[in-house]
Amino acid sequence: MKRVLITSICLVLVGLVTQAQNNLTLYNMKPIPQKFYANPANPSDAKIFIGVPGASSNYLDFGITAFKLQDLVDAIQPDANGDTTFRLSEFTKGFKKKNYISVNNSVDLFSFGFKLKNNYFFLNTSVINNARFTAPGDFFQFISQGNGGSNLNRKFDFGFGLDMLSYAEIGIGYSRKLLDEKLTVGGRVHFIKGLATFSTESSEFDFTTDKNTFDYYLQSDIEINSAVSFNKLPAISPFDSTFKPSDSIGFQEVVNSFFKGGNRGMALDIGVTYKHTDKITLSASITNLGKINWNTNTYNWRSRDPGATYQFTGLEIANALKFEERDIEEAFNQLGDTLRSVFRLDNNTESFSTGLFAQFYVGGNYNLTKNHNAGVLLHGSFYNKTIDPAITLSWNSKLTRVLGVSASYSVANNSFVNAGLGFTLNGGPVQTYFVSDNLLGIFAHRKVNTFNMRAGLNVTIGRGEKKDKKSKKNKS
Amino acid sequence: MTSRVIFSILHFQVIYMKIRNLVVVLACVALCSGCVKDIKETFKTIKSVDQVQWDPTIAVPLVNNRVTINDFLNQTSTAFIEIDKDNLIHVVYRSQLASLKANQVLRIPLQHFDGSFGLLQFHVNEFNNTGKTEVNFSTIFNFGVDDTEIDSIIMKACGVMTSLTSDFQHDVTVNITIPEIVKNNQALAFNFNLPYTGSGSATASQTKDLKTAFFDLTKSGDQSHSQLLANFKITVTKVGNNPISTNDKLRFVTDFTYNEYEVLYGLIKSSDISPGKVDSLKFDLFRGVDSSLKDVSFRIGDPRIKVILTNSYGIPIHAFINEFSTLSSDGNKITLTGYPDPLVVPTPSKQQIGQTLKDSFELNKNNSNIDDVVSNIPKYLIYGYAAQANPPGTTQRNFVTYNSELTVAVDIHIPLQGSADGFVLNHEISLDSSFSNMEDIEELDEVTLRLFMENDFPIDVDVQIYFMDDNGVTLDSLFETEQYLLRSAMVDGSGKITGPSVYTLDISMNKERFEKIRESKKGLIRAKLNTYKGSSPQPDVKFFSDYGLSVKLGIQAKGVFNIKTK
Repeated sequence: MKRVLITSICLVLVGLVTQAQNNLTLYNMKPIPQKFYANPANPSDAKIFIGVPGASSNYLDFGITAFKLQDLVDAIQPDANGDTTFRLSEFTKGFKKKNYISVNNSVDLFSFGFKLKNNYFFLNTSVINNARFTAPGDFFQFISQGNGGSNLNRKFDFGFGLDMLSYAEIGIGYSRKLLDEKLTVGGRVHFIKGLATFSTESSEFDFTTDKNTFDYYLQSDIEINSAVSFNKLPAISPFDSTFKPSDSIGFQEVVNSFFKGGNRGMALDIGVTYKHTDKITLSASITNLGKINWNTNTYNWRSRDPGATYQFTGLEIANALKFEERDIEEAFNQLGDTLRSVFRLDNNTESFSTGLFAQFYVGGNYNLTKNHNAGVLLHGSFYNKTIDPAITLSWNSKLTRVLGVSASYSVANNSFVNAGLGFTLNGGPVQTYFVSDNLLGIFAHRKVNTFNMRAGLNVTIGRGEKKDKKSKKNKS
Repeated sequence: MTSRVIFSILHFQVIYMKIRNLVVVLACVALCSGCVKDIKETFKTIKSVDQVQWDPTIAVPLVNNRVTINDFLNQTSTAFIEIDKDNLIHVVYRSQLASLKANQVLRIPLQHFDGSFGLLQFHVNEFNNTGKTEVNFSTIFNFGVDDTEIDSIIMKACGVMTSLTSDFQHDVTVNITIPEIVKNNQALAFNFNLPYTGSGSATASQTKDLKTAFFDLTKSGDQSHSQLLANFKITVTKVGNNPISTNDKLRFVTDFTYNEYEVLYGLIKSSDISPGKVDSLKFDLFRGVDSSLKDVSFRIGDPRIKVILTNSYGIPIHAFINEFSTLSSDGNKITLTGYPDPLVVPTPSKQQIGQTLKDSFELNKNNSNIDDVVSNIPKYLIYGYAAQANPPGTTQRNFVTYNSELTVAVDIHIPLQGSADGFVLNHEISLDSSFSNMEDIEELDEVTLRLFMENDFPIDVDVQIYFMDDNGVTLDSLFETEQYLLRSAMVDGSGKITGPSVYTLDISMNKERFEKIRESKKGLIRAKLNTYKGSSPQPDVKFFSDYGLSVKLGIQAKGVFNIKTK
């Protein structure tokens, strides 16, 4: 247990990489039915809830991990002549090995759930879009610092990447209370229709300068897949200059593409909560465990010779002792031909699969009073065989019957400055909520590099507190 | 009471909630206004940037090449190289000196022949009786060429023109044949018609191309050498009652022009065919060597000079060398010894007409003083010869062709095997214009040229460049001390290398030094050369054809660029 804890903390502190649809604050917000997305064993406290179509859950997050605005401002300093100078190398030196710009968004088209004795049923239809652009910090450091001096022999990673995934899903969830309501287990199955994807499976392009001879060593391994479910659109082609999405797509085609054709997938969420004592509740879940198989309108680019290395030792000029301009031109032409040959990409239309952004949550809550609890949550999301960890401390409170508030602090998204806030307003059966894992961006925009929020409108019926009040009254 | 207390509590709770909400709202407003101000401040800071400072250090591999001895010599020398069976390189200098050609000493000038004839009374009587008369006669054309007895000629180019003028007031026909001139198996012949036109003389002329024609000028019967027999047949036919007399004449002129022979047989006159000059061969293997240095030690393994004689004259030639010496750059002259005197010139026989025969002899350290000559670091080889074709006393009949020629070629073979020490090369260059437009690189802080070399050659080269002002005062030097430009490969006991010498040479220049060098007007490149000196005494080394110098030239430049944004 101790080892797991230490490992978890190390992962949080060392492996801060990127972000996904985290739900770090939402996880502990009891009144909001959508917390089911983070842990299917954590159902709504309403007997019935109906998400307002198109408005029950709108999620948006934006993140950039390369720098914060403060880094930009810090790189601006007056020089010896008093000129305000932006020092490029100062600015880029803090860039990480991999830097991301990500935009994620999901919209619930329709959702509802209801309780039946110890069972809870949940259904949702959602459209989810994830986009992530990967930029190697080495590239910017190469541009700003050059490859000489202390960068000789340094392996620069020039592997850019772009990953976009758009899909629609129908999720059917179920949870059940067991062991005298101490234990709740739940699960959700996602039936997925992939809409479009652009996936950089491998984007290795390494560049090294030999410290003795200044020779360049270039190594490349590229694999990119794309697909789109709308028949009238060609597969997304970054290397095809003739690509023009000129055909307009009618509504009927969009609807048809949802129900017909391939590009389908499946995913599973499973979760558990355990009420250890009246004070302590433990929980854990794994979500989005699945993949989409893309087999319609696919397009692939792969290195013909993956991992091929080319050593550039300088121009080999004919008549070296008395060369002319055309000898240099010829040498450059030969170099171009060689590079094209060594790093050639092959095109295919093979099927492929993409994993979803699988995540896990492990949490514990301590009930300070009936309406206040403190929580700790370990979170991880998986992307490209890397784990993106986070840890969240939260205080969750039901201030009044109407107002519920959660405040959180997270170490996540490559930043120690993430203060989240969530609230719910329940006006009768109508529930409005807003949750963000990082609201500091609004107030301390220089210090943060991510922002996310989820907001929605639900109709909730039979929330547990009335029952509690009634039972209290009866007791008194 | 209870209800009042409850009411008070509820009232307090309502007030408390209102105040709390108010505090929350005020806090949010304060935070937001602070936030907007902060964002404005951030953008103001970004907009205030005057310049972007870019200070990269960039390393680039510029050139990667392997050069061999061949590359060097092709660019720097008149020499060429030969590889012997052991792969050893020989540097070969070649020059040749040609004699006068046959067409310069033996020419056939324009040959002019003319004459006239009239009728005898006998012919006049016959003409008056029959209205026609026929006359036949012959004449000799003396084909004269200086003191040469010509037996025959095959013409390379020749033209003949014959013109006739008739005073007869009657029709005349003339047939001329020269049976000793044959072309395409037919003797040379002219046929003329000279009809009387009613007044004055009748004239006619004809030309013939005698290219490739054979002229038989052999002595036979009454005919001597160089003579041709021309036969005339003249027929006069009466026209009306016009008069005729023995005073009427028929005149002829025959000219042989453009007489170039392909082959000329006979007894050729004695001629001096000497080239009339000496030839000098620039020996630039040691170009730039400062010969004022007295401690130069230099030895070449087995130098040789090969003299090659070629001849296409079909006549005996008496030839001898009248100059064969070397001159060093300090004017020291050494005459070569050991060559044959006279020279033995091969002569083609009649069966070898058109061929060029070759013979040669070689001077080496065993039969000449060539070792001394080469050790003197020669700059020029000077040689000349005299030659006489058909020296007096020759009675043998022979031949020449139009382009017959004697040449004497000299090949100096220097096997790249030996040792050298103390060679110093000095070369001054003008830098005035080189640094005049260097403002563009002011942003460079430091530039390092890196030479990465793999040297197969068993040779060390120390180099230094001095930068000087107009008065020759040294302002700076490229290196603090002389640096190895080339570091010799290791050599085994047989003079072969055991492996390449691999090393890196950095030439760095910072802004301060570069400013100093920009002031310089000229540069002195000074290089010291020696072959491998790994053991004592200094061993002989050999240069093989697979030796080369692999050079990778890279550059590393550190700069600070301030890119203005306003």
